[in-house]
Amino acid sequence: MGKRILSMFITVAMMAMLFAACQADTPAAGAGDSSAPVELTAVFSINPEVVIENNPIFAIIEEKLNIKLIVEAPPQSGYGERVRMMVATGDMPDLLHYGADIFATQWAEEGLLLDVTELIANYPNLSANVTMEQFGDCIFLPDGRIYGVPRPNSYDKWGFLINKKWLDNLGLEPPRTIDEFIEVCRAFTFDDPTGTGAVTFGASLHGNQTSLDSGIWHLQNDFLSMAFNISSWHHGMPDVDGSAQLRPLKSGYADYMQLVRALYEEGIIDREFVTHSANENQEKFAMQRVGIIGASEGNYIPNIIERFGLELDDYIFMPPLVRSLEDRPQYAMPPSCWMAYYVNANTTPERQDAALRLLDFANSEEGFVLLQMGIQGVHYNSYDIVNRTVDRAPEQLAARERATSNNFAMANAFEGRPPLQGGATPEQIAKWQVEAGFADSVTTKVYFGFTKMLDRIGVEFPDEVMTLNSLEVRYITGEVQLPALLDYISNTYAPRTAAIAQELADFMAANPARFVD
Amino acid sequence: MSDISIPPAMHKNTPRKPRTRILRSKGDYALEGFCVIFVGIFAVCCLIPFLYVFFVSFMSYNEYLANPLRIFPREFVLQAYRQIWGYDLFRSGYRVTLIITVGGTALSVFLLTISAYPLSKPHLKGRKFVMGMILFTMFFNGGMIPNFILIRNLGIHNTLWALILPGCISAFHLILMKNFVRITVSESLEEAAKIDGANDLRILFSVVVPLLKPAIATMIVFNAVHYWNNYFSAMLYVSSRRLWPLMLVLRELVVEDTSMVSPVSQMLTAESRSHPFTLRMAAIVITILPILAIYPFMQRYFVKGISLGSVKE
Repeated sequence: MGKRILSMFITVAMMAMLFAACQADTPAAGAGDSSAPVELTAVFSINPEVVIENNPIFAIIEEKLNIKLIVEAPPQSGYGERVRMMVATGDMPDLLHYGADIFATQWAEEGLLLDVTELIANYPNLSANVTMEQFGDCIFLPDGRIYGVPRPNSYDKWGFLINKKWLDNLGLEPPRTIDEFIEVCRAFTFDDPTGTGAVTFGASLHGNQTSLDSGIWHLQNDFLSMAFNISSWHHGMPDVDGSAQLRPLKSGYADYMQLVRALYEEGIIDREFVTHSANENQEKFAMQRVGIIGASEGNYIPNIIERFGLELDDYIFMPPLVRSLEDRPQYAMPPSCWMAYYVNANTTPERQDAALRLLDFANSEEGFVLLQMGIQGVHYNSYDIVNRTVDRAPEQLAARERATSNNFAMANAFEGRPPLQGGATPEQIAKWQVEAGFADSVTTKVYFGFTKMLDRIGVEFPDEVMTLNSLEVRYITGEVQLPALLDYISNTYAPRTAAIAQELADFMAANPARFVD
Repeated sequence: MSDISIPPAMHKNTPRKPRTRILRSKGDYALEGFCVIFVGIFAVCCLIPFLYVFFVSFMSYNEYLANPLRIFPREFVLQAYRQIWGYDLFRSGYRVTLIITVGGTALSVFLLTISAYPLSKPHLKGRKFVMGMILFTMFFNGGMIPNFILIRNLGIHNTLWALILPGCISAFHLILMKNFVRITVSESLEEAAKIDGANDLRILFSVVVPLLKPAIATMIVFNAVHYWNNYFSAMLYVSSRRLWPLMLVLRELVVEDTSMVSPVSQMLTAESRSHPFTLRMAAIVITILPILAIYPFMQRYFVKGISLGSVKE
């Protein structure tokens, strides 16, 4: 009997605990008076290290802007689906962080996104820190209106990182031309650059299937493809004669494909690149399995050398390759944005204003430093915005990672430059200044605008895109021959996409690329 | 002590029945040897990934990079585990997962039992219709967005109920349970209980449930594993990170794809949220350890579950 009573008591207690634990968090009722902060619901893509509850940065925002942020941060691994579902079910928040893609275009068409074209002028930091070229990322419709505030990012300049120790062991110089690159790749693959007999490859490319691109295209491969005037994901890069062409119709397309196939066939690049996920090529580089990978000039030290614990002096950053020494290397310089922020068109004017005030603050110097670096004295000792260097202790950095991150900061560049440049230590910065400075001095920067009309190719011609993607990969791996690939492009792909190609040509004629040495 | 029990001393002296020796040919031995070797290799193949994950989690990241195929670390380090325990979401994830696993499993088994019992009665009016409706849900459902709207309108969005209720009763489990009740519980037993004055509830809890112990144990295992591994409900129905279950936290650490359409954004986000391989392996070990620990004790019920209700009288 006693056991039964005890058992019943435990069951009841368990159920009570379960009910108590399952209750929804009821938000505190607003004060209702005019001095009460404006409650702003927002959905942001924030990495899981940042603690949302009682976040000190939110508290400062509330104090400074009188805005109480109610942030939802869905899992980044399913962020896109979650946001699309919220919008589809009518649960759109006041402020939304999302990519400037075909779904955003659809939301703009449906009148869900606030048209900020005229409003931008009222928020001086927005127009100062986000260029009109960057705002072009949020022009979705033919009416030319702006439907969001892009998250500005600094320009990426894609060159390559090479293992200097291997070069020294084999008595080689860093390559500058495609022919030299092939020779270095051969030596790295067949001449035992480590001296241990380990299996090595010359280079690793990166592959990433997107709605428009097969697994052989990636920005990290631009150090190779820019010799053929092809920037993997930026289709506004002009052809050799200055014309605007879809990538498969560019004059250097066939030559580039033949080059990659030859490298693949000879086995002097890592053949697994077609299926690489996010950082596999970088891991292989760090594992000393490949000697060359694509790298961005602005962050190769923190993102590769520091992250993988590599020796600083064992690696060199080099500018993109050229076909002949008479050519100048080229950096593709499209305006760079990291998604965008959209204000709900159907929320109250007060909340719309609060959302734009928040973005304006984030693009001011004060807001940029607060959101990127954290709170002075707590998360860092001092920050030099001119040289983009910071003085902070490891424990301050750990505290900063719980409070904010570059995922959370609403501007990833201030006046076109990232929050930290070159590295964290004086040695890293000195090395970066030499290598990046040299690469900059020999390279032509090609500036061009967003080519949004190309997003429609993946939506309007999915079968053609998939077929082309498949043929490209199968050509590289040797399953089909070049005539089959080129036939498909000229007889099927080009005629079907001709209207969009013409739109591209018209856009580029109206907004020509600028070349800066 | 009953009259027919054998005293120990007598039992000891009882002559044993001689064992029948089966004559085996060399071929039989060869076949047996081959089977042992084959199954042994297969077992090793199954075990190696577990060992790899386990041992890599104790490696330093530099040692992993130096030789990613190494299974045994040169030096055991707890760096990855320290990092994981410093991670707030891991601790809250554990709490949430324990609550939904225990609470969800208890509720699920309770509901399965009280639903399966009446549905096993052939004389129940409308039984076929109800079973038809239940079967229908095995083949068709409303889809993701209607489900989301349903959860929101029920007022359980962003609560633990949203993680417990959607998967609480599986049509498949209900059919298994119903068949098991029908096979196990005889009419005469229930009639005897009725004659003794028991009502339906009394019969269910005092007569039927004790007979269903194997089926209940199987359902506990099935549901516990389901709730432990489930992350998708949280991705859809929960907006507060404090309600993320462990598996969703693990997914955030392990999966680098951010499912953004813009490739540049995807690359930038992936770069900023990439975690060392050793850390990911430590997260996997911590996550699977509890279910791995109880699995050997419940394994026989899993095996039983496969044939549960499959015999039709």
